[in-house]
Amino acid sequence: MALETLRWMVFTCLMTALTAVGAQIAVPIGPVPMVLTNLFVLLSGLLLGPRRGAAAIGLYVLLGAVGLPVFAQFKSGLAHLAGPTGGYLAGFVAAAWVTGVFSRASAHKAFDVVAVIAGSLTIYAMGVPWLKWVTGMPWAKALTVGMAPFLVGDGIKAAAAVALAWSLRPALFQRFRTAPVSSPNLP
Amino acid sequence: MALRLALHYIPRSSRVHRWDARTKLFGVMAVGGAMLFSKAAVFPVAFSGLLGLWAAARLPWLLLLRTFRAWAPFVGLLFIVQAVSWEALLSPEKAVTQVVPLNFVAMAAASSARLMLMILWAVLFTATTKTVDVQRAVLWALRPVPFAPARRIAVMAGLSMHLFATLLDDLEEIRNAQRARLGDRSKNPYRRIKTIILPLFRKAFHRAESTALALSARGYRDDVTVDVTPWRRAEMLSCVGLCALLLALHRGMP
Repeated sequence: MALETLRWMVFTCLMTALTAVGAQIAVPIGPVPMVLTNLFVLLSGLLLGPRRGAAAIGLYVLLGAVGLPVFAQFKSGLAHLAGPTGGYLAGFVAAAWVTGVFSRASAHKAFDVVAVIAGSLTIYAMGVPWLKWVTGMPWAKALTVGMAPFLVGDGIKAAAAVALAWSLRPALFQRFRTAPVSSPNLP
Repeated sequence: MALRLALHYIPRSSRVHRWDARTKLFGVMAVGGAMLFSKAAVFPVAFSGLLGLWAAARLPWLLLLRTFRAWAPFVGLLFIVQAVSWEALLSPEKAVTQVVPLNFVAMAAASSARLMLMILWAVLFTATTKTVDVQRAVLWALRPVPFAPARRIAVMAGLSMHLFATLLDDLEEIRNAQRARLGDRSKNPYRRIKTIILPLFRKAFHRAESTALALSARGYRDDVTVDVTPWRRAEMLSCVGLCALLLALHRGMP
């Protein structure tokens, strides 16, 4: 397999692992302490693009669902997917894809800002209806519980994701530019 | 680190543990789905089934309580939000029975009970199934999908877990270094995020590069076959039977 393909594969795994690490970092932002999962979800889309970003976060959700302790506070299991948080987890995968699509649409930096806003809204667009459906709450209550308390924190995390993407992209792409070409003798 | 990463599987010598991961996965999915769409008849069956299988699997009852306690704040919040009538709460003249109507409380209780049952069924699955078995089940499920490289997904899952463990150690090291420099006293959340994440990424990129080169040097390839044991017919049929039972209960048939 070509080194380039292997490198992208490992970097996808790296984003999966970083998302799992981010879920263990709690930062007091806004009315409730926030974990950094969203930040890494958005960053996956910004750094890896739509397909690989969604793959990285899809793998994260899969690992958590099958019982590996990658969700916040080292939790795991199918309960997170089947329970009220399931929509947000599915939304993470879609958000990484949406962020990647918007971010790759143009090289202009403003598209990164649009991308993270679209990505964050995608998480809510999937998480809140699922919460409403699973619990049977009316829309107003579902929005109050599942969206309003997180808006401040998510705004800061989205801004941090853009800033980090701008500072990390050169380092990431430099590796791909300066990497040795894979030997034709290797399988 | 080993303690932190201790998986949530609880080893026991029981029939439930020996069941194929696919049987348990599809069973839990069927029960979860039935509870989402179901009428009240499914609840007692799901509850007694859960208790019966919990006892058969010889899982500690404390785990049941621990799970309940862990999810209680979230489910409790949902119960309160659902039980309160907001229209009555915002109106100037209000009685307790108007703010917390009985039909709202009943609906909130049913919804919370359904959520807790779904969560406990999923915990039963996780506690009785080894991760490697689940990975094989996922591999089996992905095999017929033409665009999903099952073998690569399995390798990536392993790699991600390896990187997760090493990055957690790196994170601890960065935090300690930050504390030593009094960096943790900053009130600015953006600065706090930046001072943790940037060094973490620097280390992570370095690790990823070494891993990619190591894989390449060892001649990693995707097309090596992995043997997954076939799904036993009896267990497959029991899954179909469970689905039929749930469907019958849902339609209100005996």
